[in-house]
Amino acid sequence: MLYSRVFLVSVMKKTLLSVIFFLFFTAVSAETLHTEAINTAEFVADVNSALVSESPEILIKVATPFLSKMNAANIPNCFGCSLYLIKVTEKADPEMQLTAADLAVKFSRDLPEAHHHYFLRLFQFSPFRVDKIITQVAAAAKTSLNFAFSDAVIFLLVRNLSTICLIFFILFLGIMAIKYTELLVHKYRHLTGFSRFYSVSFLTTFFISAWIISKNPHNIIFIAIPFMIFFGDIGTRAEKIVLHITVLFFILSSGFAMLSEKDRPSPYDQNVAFNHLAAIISPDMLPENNIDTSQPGAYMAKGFLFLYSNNFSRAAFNLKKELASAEIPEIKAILSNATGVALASNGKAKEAIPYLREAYEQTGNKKIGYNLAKALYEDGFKEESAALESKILDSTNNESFPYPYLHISNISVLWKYFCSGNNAGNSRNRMNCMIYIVSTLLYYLFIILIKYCYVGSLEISRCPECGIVTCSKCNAGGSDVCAVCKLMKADYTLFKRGEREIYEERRERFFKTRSIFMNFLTFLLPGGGLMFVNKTFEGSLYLAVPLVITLVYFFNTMGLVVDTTDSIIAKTSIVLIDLFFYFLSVVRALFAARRS
Amino acid sequence: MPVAIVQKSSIKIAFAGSLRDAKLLDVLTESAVSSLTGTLKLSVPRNEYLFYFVKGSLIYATSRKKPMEKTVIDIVKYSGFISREKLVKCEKLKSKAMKTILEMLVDEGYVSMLLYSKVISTAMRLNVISAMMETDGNYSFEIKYKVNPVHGVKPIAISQLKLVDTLIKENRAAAKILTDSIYSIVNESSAAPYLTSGLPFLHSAIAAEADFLNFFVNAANDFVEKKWSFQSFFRKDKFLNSIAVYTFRTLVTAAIIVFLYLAFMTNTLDLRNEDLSGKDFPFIRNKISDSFEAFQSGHKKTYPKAVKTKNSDDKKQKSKKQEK
Repeated sequence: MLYSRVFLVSVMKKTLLSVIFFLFFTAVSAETLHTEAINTAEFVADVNSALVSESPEILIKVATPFLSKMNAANIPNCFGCSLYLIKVTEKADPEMQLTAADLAVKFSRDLPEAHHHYFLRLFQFSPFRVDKIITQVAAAAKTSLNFAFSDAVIFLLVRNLSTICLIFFILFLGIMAIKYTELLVHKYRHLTGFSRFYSVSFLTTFFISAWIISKNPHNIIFIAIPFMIFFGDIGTRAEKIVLHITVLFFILSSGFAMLSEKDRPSPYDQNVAFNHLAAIISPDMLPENNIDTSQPGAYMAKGFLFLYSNNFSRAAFNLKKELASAEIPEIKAILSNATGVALASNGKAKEAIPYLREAYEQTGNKKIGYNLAKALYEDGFKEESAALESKILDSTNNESFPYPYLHISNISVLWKYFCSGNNAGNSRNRMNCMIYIVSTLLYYLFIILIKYCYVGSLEISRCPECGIVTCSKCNAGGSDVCAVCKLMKADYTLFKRGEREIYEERRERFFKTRSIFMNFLTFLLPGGGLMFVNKTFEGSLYLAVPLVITLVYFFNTMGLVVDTTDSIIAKTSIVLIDLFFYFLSVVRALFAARRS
Repeated sequence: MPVAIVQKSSIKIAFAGSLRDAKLLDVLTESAVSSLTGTLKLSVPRNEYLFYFVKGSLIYATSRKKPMEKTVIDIVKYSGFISREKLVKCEKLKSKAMKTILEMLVDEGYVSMLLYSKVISTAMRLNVISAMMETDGNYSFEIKYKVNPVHGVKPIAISQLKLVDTLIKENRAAAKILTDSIYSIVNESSAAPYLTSGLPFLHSAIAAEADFLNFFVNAANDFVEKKWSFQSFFRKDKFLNSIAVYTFRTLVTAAIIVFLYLAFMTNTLDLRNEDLSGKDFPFIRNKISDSFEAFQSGHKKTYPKAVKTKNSDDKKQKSKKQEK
């Protein structure tokens, strides 16, 4: 009997050890977990049948149960549902498209594309709903900056801004080169001591060096600054200001782009990180083999999935496990609240209170406070619960408090945590940014010093009467008319026979050439003609606005997945805006030329 | 520019020769004694001097190496009579007024006619001293019908040149030092009261009532007798200033070398072009797109297991240890 008992105990021990070993073995492998709150196949079939009826009301009726299920399970988003609604109503009638867009937003409040789509549909089919349009534009911007790729959006936007500055700078220099060709050539000849050999060799060396160093785009500024100083001296004050502002914007945007750039790649597999993220924010996006416990956020993802499936004890177990290793305050707040909710939903209100209290104290979020109030009530602290509840309700106006509330503050923070673990906060290129800005500043001062040493006293301008170059070192005249024009005005009989004709011919040729260039630039570039006739600020505005709108949009920083028609509408709008600015600049330039 | 205008007539050479056969003083004396009118040209290696005579009187002297205008402007700039601000102001104005800087200085009243006269006379005498220090060269005297005098220049008496010649003969080194250091600052000395301490040598020379040549000879003799001296490079304030300047330059050079070393030899300043942040954007978009395809088809995609990274291996080892 004793022997059989010992045998039984040893068998049980072995079995238990095997189970434990198996559990640990599986813990370090990829797992597959799903929540069946939304049956995707059913959703697709129901929506398709609703579309056949071509009635928006039926579409709403079909979608409502799925939304209710989502709310009941506390699932924050269903990206698949939203994207499917957007895609299948692409060519539907306006009312259907608007309804689908509205539903898409309801299904995924955190998806930027849903808000972007809804905003464009409103703009297209219901342009007078200004309040809704503004709300959706704000929501699109907010969700883009809170989404997983928020860093990338900021980085791309800022980097595109520096590209725009560079394009504007090059175009502006091009216009100045056409406007002041003789002056530039004359100044360059002074710089190289009127030597053909040095002129050619210096130019060749400069452009070869420029080509070599511009292979790294961050070095382009070191080519732009000498150009800015060389051209800026010849131009008017307004042109100098525009050049300096452009270069300053370029430096700042490049520096900020470095700051928003990660300084090292993610040490973890990003595919798995995405799965962990999807498990929390939109579980319908989860593929097979979706969880890997060797990466950060795995237990958090599991915890949330169990929470959505109403398996509260396992949810609390996994969330506590993740909470033990998480160090980032925002992540800890999310986990504490979710753990508290899981425990409270499992009837362990007493155990839930410290977690909820910690999350509430850390974030100050009233909805978490409401979770805490409910847990306190369930645990018997009715007075404290009532006091907290009234405090929360008194401080808000018309805000609904769902219970239980799952707090997911910023998806970007989650994404960084899943990609880099607890080191997510230190991934900034502060050093590069600082070195870039300081070295650029020093380089600028260095070039200014060189300028003052070699061509500092040189004053070059053009005679407004005949267009000849007046240089303080070669032929005096300064900012007034040249000596020949002075004499011509004073007493033209001083000129020998034939000299006057030569002078008048030169004068006529100058004005004719100027007129041709002015017209050419007017029709070539928005604002080009205006800049040519010294309306620098106005011309710069007409050039910069279409450039910024066009390039920012066409660089596509919206992250659209399925919404192709939206981009066609948007592209048409952008082209129309560009054309408006172009024609406005042409008209303004022609008027300005007529006046001058 | 001050120029002695020579009226052209048929070229007639009075005499010519080499400095090896006759000293310049003798040539100049002969020109004076013969009461010649014309130009004496002295060609020396890498330079050429022109002496202008009117009836035996030496009225002007120029050097091809350094034009008279440049010498005059240098004297005005560096002798301490005109401040830098005034010079900069005239430099800016000259282009609009179509005048030289000297004319602008005179017009603006910064250079009086008396000062101008003294400056141009001094410049001419400096040319003569430089020429007299030459030992090799050829000369020729071209007789002219008329040589117009330059306004403000005082002629030189040959007797004064004899003093200079004696000085060069006896203390050539001292004469050379003085001609090379006319813009240098003079040290404080009670034995040479005619020199103002803390100002350039030339400042005292121009301010003195005596003729520049006499002043020069006296100063050179006193210099030899060590009655006065130029400020030493190692003088405290000058030396400290130089130390500060060179230290700063050394630091800048060192900083540039360190910067270049860090930039080219190490990875410290490597600017990344990988767009690590930017890559997140298409990655997440593509992942959503893939998941959406699976959503539509109703089949969940199966991805290969996560790539084992060093980090994940470490974690596995840790968990195994915990298990043990």
